[in-house]
Amino acid sequence: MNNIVNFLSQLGASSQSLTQDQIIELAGEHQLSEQEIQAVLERDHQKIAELLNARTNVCGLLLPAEDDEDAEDDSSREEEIAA
Amino acid sequence: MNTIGQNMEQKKTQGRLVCVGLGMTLGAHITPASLKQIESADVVFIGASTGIVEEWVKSINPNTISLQPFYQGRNSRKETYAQMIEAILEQVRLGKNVCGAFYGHPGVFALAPRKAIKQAREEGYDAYMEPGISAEACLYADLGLDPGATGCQQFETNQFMFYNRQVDIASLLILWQVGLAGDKESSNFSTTRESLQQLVDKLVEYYPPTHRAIVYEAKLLAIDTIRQEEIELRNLPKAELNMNSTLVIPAYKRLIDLKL
Repeated sequence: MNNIVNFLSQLGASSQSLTQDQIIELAGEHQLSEQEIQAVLERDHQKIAELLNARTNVCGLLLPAEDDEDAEDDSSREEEIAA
Repeated sequence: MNTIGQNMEQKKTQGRLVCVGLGMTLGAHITPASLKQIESADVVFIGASTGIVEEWVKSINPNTISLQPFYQGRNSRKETYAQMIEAILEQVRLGKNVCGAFYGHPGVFALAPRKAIKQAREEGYDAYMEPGISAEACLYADLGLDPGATGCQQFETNQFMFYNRQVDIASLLILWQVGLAGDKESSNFSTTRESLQQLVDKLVEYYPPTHRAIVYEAKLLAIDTIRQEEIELRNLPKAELNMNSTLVIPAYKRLIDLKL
């Protein structure tokens, strides 16, 4: 596992609220580079993703079920009125 | 081969689908059951909140395919989700043990996992869902709100705006995806001041313009801080909103005791 991914995963699993000094110490234990530590301290998702060569343009969306055929098939429900 | 062995062999070649939740915060929320599904899958399809989470899942199972490329066309999101479902089922039909890993809870405001499971079952495959920690669960923890205290209504913002939904002002109201307000055709990735004003106009039918709401964003990485920004409803059009912003509107009136 990449060092920074491993670091973030372990930090998440530990559920700890760390000070900046503690984060730097933990990052050192995970052998993060200076650039990686800087990106972590700045909470810069874009930079972390770039350093990982990960996707930087990510779309996470919700889609409600108002167009769901389950609802369309359910004749017991009255039709929703569009405003 | 004995019967148990035959059954196992049959299941192995049948193809199956398990959709799991990754939770909201990388490494913090995934359940042991979901982690096991990702580790043991032949192929993992991932719908994550950041590219960093994608890399984390790839580190658990290198045979991971991102669903992000499906968003890149100019299709409506309904078409996009149909294409995602087809890609997932194609692998199930090939007899593979397929895992769909989605941020948050795979069954909450998530069309693709639920429909993929339904279709897989209709085609005779073993398919089910493992729950995850949703944005809603994080919201209650981070903001210290209990939906049991006053009751809770929640809508996807555009469903709230474009359909005739009734608000109970004695309950908590949560509007998801407020950063996409006005996107009736499910084809945009942002909102406008005009659309937010339209939303405010609808809300002030129920609440005073000065009623205080909260713009909330959950932590995606453990290094993040949650966003918990109080705002008067009338100022919503000026707020900086993202795709993952949620509007939380506390109850305006006390519960009325019906002494029958």
